[in-house]
Amino acid sequence: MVTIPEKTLVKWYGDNDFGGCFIADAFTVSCEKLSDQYQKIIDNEDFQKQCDDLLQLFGKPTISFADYGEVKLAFVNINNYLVVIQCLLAHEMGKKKIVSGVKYFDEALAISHVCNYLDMPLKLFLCRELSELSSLKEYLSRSGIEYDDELCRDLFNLPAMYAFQEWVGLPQEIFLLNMRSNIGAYPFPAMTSSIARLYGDQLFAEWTEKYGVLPKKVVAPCISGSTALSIFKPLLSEEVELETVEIADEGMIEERDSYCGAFTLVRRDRKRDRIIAPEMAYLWKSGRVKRSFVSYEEAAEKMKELQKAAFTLSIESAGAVLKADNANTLVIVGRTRAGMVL
Amino acid sequence: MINRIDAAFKQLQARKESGFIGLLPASLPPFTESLKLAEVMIEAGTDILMVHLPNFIPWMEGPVLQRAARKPRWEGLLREQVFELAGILRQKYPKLPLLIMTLYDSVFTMGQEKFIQLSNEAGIDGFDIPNYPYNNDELGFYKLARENNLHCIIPVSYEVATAEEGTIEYEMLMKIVDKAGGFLFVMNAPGGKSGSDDLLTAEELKGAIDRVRGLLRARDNSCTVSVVCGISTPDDARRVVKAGADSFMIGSAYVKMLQNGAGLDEIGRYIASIKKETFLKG
Repeated sequence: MVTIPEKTLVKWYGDNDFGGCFIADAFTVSCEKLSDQYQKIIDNEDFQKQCDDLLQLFGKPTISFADYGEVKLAFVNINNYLVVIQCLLAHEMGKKKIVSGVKYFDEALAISHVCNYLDMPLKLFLCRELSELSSLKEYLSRSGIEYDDELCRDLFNLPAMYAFQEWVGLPQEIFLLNMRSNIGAYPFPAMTSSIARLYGDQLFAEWTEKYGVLPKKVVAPCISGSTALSIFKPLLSEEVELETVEIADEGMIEERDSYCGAFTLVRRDRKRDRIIAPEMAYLWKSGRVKRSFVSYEEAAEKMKELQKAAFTLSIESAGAVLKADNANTLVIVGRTRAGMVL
Repeated sequence: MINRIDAAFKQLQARKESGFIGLLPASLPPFTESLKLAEVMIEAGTDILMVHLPNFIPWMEGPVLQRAARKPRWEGLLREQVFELAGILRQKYPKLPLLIMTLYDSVFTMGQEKFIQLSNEAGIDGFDIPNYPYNNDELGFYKLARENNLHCIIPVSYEVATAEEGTIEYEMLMKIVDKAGGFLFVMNAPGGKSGSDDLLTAEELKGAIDRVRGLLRARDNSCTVSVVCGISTPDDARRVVKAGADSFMIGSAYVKMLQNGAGLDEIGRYIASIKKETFLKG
């Protein structure tokens, strides 16, 4: 049965370093209530059974392994645990609507499918790139899904921020579904990462079945750090080296700042922000996860090389493969996804 | 020494007038646009000025103020420069209550002590920092502000303002009532989003204002009650004053006018028409 191992949600990572709940006092009560409800529901066996059933129907995330020289690649894709479990949580909590900010085509579709199955009204905030996809918008309209395709196009390309604003407006009726753990005040980052780690649990269960022992090192690409976090979390107390790899974004400075109420690291220039999951920011600071950068050019070269070996990976994943420096290394990779900016 | 905000409300109460709080967007040094706008706003009757320290990710703002935050960021405005602007305003208007409006994010990034030091040097009287947890003062910012005679303006939602005794929301309300100073904000819109169209009814607004004021007085707190969000026309202002607000704040409405190309004369006439409605109190 699907059981989430982390029963208690963490508010701060480190010594008031990252995380927290910095939204108006008037709304912190909603955050506390959400945290209490979540912790009660995930422990309930009926709920766990419902999650199992729905995951059978919609499919657990898929994982496949491949060899690339001496290195192993693990192909990951959309984290269906996040979609299914959060939709069911909303249903169980008696919410009237789900809102979500989406960056990829497959996320928009997956959330729409599950919401329609559960008869749960949904509003999607589309990122700028998805806002241009008329096929997606037509599909959503025909499916009766409300969406916003203006805010990210006209203002900040941060769909999750607009979804968060919508939630703050009516938290007793709305459920905020996050696909990344870099969004929102407590308890959102902790809730998201504790559900997302089920993907990591699944991956290493399948890995161990196939290969017997854990790898010596696991490398993952990093944009927000959310996917890397989901994979790394089952290994935090194991003797396994963990490393994230980012594409060096020239001209961006890094600050500790807040995003929708939680403190974290933000990389920014005058026009762009890249927000790191607060838990990952803490793991870097504590040294448990090594943080590396590669240049865009190096990653692009690697991507072309991988294409010749019939692997079509995202540029970030290609960057991660660059840091796979020996055997016994597992690299977490993803293919390019519709909506991804290359 | 009496805080200028408190002094201003004493005078407003003596004149049986509601106060108008105006938001001032920050422009780049030498701050020509902001200073001209401030002059027009004050001449038109603005009682309290909030200088906007825009956040790089304005996640609590509506579209108008998000657009307003984007421009100075793209142009490279530094956070420290907003305090320079405030300092110039203080020199020009020695008695005018001046506040900084921002998110705690900027305070945290700059460092609390530096933020307070710059505020003192600029002659700031208080802060509208809606996302700091004043109820438990987790990081000591409220205490530091009060030690420096600076008011922290705390927002209250309708749900909290009208919470039944014995609920968590009521506990939160009582903590706010004990900590509030200068004025507190009753949010006229769910989520406190600037420029919102989804507003409380006149009855709901009056109920929230009366409740909060009653609790403040019962705790011997002379903090006044202001209203924020979704006020843009003289009718809106009249409605808010009739509901009993000691003051109210407008930001999005005329910032949007500026974004749409309105000149300063037009802004001045707009603010004067709003200020006219404040004389109805009494």
